[in-house]
Amino acid sequence: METWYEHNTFHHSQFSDIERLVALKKEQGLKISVALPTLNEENTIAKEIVLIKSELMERHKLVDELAVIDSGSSDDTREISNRFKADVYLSEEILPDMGSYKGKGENLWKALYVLKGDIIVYIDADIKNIHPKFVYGLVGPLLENEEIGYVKAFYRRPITRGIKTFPSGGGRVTQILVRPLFNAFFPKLSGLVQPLSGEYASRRKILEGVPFFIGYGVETGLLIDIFNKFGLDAIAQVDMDRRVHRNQGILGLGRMSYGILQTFMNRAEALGRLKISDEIPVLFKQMVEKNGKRNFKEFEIREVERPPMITVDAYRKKRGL
Amino acid sequence: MKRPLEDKKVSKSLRLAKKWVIRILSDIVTLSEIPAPSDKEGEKRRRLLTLMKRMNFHTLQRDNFGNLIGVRKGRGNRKTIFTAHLDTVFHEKIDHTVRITAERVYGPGVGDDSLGIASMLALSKILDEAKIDTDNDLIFAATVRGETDFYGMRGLMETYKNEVDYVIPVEGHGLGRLGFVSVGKIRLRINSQVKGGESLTEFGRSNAIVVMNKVINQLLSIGLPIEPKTTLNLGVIEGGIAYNTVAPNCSLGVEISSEQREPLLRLHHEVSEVIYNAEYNGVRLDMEELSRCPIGGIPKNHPMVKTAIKIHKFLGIETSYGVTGFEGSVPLSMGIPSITVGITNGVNQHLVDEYIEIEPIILGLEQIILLALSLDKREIFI
Repeated sequence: METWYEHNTFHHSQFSDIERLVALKKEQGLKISVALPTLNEENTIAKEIVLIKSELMERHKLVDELAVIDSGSSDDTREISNRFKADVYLSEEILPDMGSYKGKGENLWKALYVLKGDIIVYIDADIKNIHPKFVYGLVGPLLENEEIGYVKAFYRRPITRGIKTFPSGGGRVTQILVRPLFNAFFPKLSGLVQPLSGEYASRRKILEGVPFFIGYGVETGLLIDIFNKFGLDAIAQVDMDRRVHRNQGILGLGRMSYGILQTFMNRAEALGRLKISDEIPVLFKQMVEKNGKRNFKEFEIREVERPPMITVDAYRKKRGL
Repeated sequence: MKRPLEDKKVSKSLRLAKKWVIRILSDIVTLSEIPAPSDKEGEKRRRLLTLMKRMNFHTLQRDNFGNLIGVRKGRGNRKTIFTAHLDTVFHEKIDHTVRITAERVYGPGVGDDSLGIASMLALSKILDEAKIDTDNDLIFAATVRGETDFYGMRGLMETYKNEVDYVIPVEGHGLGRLGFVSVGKIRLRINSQVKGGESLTEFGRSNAIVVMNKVINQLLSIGLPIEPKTTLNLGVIEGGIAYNTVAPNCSLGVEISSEQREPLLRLHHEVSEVIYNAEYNGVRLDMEELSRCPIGGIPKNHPMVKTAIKIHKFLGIETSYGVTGFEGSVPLSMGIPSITVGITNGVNQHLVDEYIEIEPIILGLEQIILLALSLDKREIFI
């Protein structure tokens, strides 16, 4: 793991010569697509589109396609995205025969169907301090190293408490749940600083060959499956310095953790790392305190698994496979 | 003489303005998110330099005053100078994150003057893309200390005073403004200092804040002429050190202004009388002059103004005549024709919740394209 960390951990500044990346992309005959999965992101989406479009599509021809894949936002996310000329898709309208689920993972999976690129970059749409580095930093290792297939971002995450912002403290689910789990059951993956980061780039051939979980478990599932199928050396990570986004409340993090836990258990069992005698319930009970009264509130958290895209007939047909 | 839309290259440049807005927004984010209070413009200037290096300037350099200057060579030797200031009024510690919505851009300094700088860059690139050559050299200068003592602009004018035909300061805010008259302004800081001391044991001792309060009352009793417009603003006050201490110091920032020289000097004299002649329990005050903005201007029938008005009419921009910003007063006071223009509509200038509107940026950009070309022809283009 230490050797992997040494060789496969980069810093975004190593890839800031964007014209060099453009030349590598041309030389390798690749196309790059960026997908922004959204659900009610009207406060941050415009800036992400403006910066990626202006810097990486117009000033430098690094990115060939920029798409917003929306889960049915009730705010102006889609309208704003159209206005700033991103390609906008409603997730439920992609592969309608396959049905539709609400969840970020669902959007990422469906993005594979509509995007044209050989390299796919996923960027969460809630980044306040968006910078082109989030894209070029992720595609850099792919363009420079043939053997790398999947690149994740990591960063320091400032956390906001009231009007004050603290330099770190974000990434609570990562520190308390995910890293201990990886350490216990997949120790080789414990070198990943932010296994849950929502920014990653991958070669299409890798993403189309693995299943996607529809919800919070998507990052965990992808990481374990890609590690299992393609090996640790296919994975790399890039330091992005700092990422500012809105922080979720503790109850929201609890539900997120439950989705991740389901995915993790599912995979750990399938890969023979863990034996579970019973099914993990999909109902998650949270204790909610209101006006001094305690109540249990139940949430259905079901991490449905979408099959590898390569097995979907419509996809094979579209791509002439 | 051709109308702009009959000239293929000019009409292409106007079409490009629309396409360029997204690039301008991106430059606004890049520039505004780097804090740059006056005299601390270094990091922002370095970032701008990397943006300007990607462009085709004949020369690109940081001058001795700290301005960053890109020259787009013309056929002749005369110059037309576009300027926008690098610095902002905001403290480096405040949050400089920019937010973009469907119609607006929010953030400290987005319009004042990141949009001005971004528009200058766009103008230069658009002329390149439309393959338009000019007679005059077009000089694009990002200046320092534009919010305080316009040190950068003074230096720039010293350098180019014998070669320049026109100076056009570009401000993000105020689409339609034409500033070609500069109001005289003097900024003063008044200081009171006393001994102070613990509030219980030294109760009754002279207090710097109380003294300043008396000064303020006297300043406010000075009569001001309505015509020509003459003003006195109490802009900044600082003082005292703790709740339980007789305030040992207090300072007051005052700006006086007038459209004409005489009333300004008279007001300056009256303020000085208040400060130096009055006795406040034996406490003496002192006053320092921080900056002086000279009175100047060109008449409304000056060819430069007439050209700008025609461009506004052609584009359907409503013209508002006003006084120029601080920076524009420098060339005007030296007899160099200058008009300060605005690029879009904005609100809350100099406040952290400043914002600008996106849509009118296209018009603002078309305006400076036509202004650059019309002035270059030395005759009215439209």
